[in-house]
Amino acid sequence: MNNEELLKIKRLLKEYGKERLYCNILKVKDYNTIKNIIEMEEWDDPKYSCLLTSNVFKTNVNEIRKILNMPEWKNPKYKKLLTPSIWQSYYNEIRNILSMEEWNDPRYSHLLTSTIWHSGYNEVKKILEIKELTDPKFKKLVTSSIWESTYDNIDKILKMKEWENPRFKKLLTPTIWKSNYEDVVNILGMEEWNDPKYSYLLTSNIWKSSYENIKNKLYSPYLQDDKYKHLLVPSIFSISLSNIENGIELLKKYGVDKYVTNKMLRHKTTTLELLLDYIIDNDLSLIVEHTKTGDKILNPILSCEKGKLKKKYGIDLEKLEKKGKSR
Amino acid sequence: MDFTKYESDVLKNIDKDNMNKIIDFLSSKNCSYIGELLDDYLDLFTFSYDEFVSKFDLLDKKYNNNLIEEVSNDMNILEEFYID
Repeated sequence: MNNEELLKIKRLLKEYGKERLYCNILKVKDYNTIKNIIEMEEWDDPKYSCLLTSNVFKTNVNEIRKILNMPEWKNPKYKKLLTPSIWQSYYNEIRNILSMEEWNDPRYSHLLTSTIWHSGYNEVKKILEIKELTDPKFKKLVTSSIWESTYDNIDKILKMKEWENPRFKKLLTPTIWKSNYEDVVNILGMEEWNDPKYSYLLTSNIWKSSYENIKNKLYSPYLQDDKYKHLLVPSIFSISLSNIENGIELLKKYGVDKYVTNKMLRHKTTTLELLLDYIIDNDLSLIVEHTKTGDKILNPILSCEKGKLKKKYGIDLEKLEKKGKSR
Repeated sequence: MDFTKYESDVLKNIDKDNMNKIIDFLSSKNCSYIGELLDDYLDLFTFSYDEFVSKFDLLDKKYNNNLIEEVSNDMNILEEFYID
């Protein structure tokens, strides 16, 4: 799609007050398909208006109408499944999934949530037939998160011998379905978990990160530095290396990098800088004593939420940010 | 929202339906800083709704049923969500 057509689509979305629907998928759809979808009367019905999200452009007007007109949505058991995720599936798949006898089985009825639309009918059937799912050892894993994975992954993960190791048992939580077999094998095989410096990082949260990301973080020059080792907590794998590095470098400029906390690394670096400057410009202390422990910490202004900043400290962060932009 | 703060794994793991359920839950707890959580703690929303609620309840008990207020004063408390 060329720029002119893209502009035409953006204008169309603006005309209908639907600019929020603009997304990458529109670049591979034609103008008329998009227009026909946006102009559907069904979106005026409060029952369906919340379903008009950018996902809907994955499908077409006929499919949308067939899905919305399914009698199943009148059944309270299925009503909750009608969410924007449904546009990841197709009419025939949806009908087949909803008609499965397994949803009458108390072992599986709780699995019927909108996450199921990540999967197809054949996959769902095969997954429910995996015999390891009935093993009490894996009971905790049988949640609707399972639909985020594939039969192949689930089957291989459940058959891993590593689960016989008591050290790894606590990692058996539904979060594992966010990962894949190769990453699970590589992560469990890491020698680093035998090192007290890293062993406490092995929590079920680890499954949200790739093996590559974990390795990069553990061996990042910043996080290898003893001064910053307190930053090595399970959540560190979520923050980009660039934000970690930029945050630490910024605090170095103010001579307070050894007091860096994980919250600080989650700030936009520009916001962190504004708050640091505010503290200095208003003759406040950058380093204070923790009221309970007496430890030296960075001023709590840097750790509290925006509303509290205003209420407790009289700092309007939005004003500060606007002022910062106009400098 | 600045997505460059996060590893790509975080964005990959966001399920909008799940995220909306967590947002509704936080609203029901009168959390006034949901927007800020989405900005600075987007990865919190990658916990499944059930897991999030269970962890919230445990922490809330630890902080004398005042977790929302305690976090507003010190968001570092949220690190405890990530510990098993």
